[in-house]
Amino acid sequence: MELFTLYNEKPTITKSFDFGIIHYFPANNIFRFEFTINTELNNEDAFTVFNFCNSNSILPKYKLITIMKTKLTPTKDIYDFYNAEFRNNHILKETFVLVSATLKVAGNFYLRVKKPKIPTKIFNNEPAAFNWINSEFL
Amino acid sequence: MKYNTIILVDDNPTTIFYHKDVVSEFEPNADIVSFDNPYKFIDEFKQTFSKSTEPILLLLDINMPEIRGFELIELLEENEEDMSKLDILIVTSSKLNSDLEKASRYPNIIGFIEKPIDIDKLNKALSGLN
Repeated sequence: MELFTLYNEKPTITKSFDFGIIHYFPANNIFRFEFTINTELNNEDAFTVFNFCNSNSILPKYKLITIMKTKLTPTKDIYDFYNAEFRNNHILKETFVLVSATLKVAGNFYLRVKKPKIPTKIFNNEPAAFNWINSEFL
Repeated sequence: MKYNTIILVDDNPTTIFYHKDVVSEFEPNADIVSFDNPYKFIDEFKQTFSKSTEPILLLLDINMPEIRGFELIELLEENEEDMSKLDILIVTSSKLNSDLEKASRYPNIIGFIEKPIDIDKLNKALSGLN
């Protein structure tokens, strides 16, 4: 599906990193980040994405959709990074689109054990993730 | 996260004996309860554990002759037991893709751990590193 069809606007900013690509949809107040390679989920890359969002967001707080369709290996501290206060101060709602069974179980771990402080949900497809993050429902 | 209650369900009493030792070393202050009969666990869950206000960790053997680990979870769900405090680590002798795929459908399952368990494996599983 074309991103324009789903998000109903063209991204105003698109930036590629060596591990993924990020789009910004300002009318929806959404950043969409997608991993494009098999890699580890580490704080350094997560910080790069977070920093990019903060520097480019029109509003102080934004919504973030992270698409994880490649083979990704969580590192020890990544869950705490995702749930860190400095990050929560900038993110209104967050959703992860997870495809692999391993990552879905890791997602269960994040939701149940780390208990994210901002509204967070996991989906297996992007339209469902978009609908939730764009709704008023938490 | 610290668990005050850790439950072991495994049909093999020898495995339970060994795993109990490891878990008590891992979490010395936790109450460790074990069941070699999965149906007894289900009864006890209804009566006691479902009323817990604290998180409970369940180490659940996936391959038991009487009932598979996944079927046990389904029975609890079908009976509409309150599983909100129950975090489950699936204990298995081999990580099969089909099991992993199935596990991902149950939101209470937070990880996998291979037999025989040890402290490193527990640490890893409870850090979200599967």
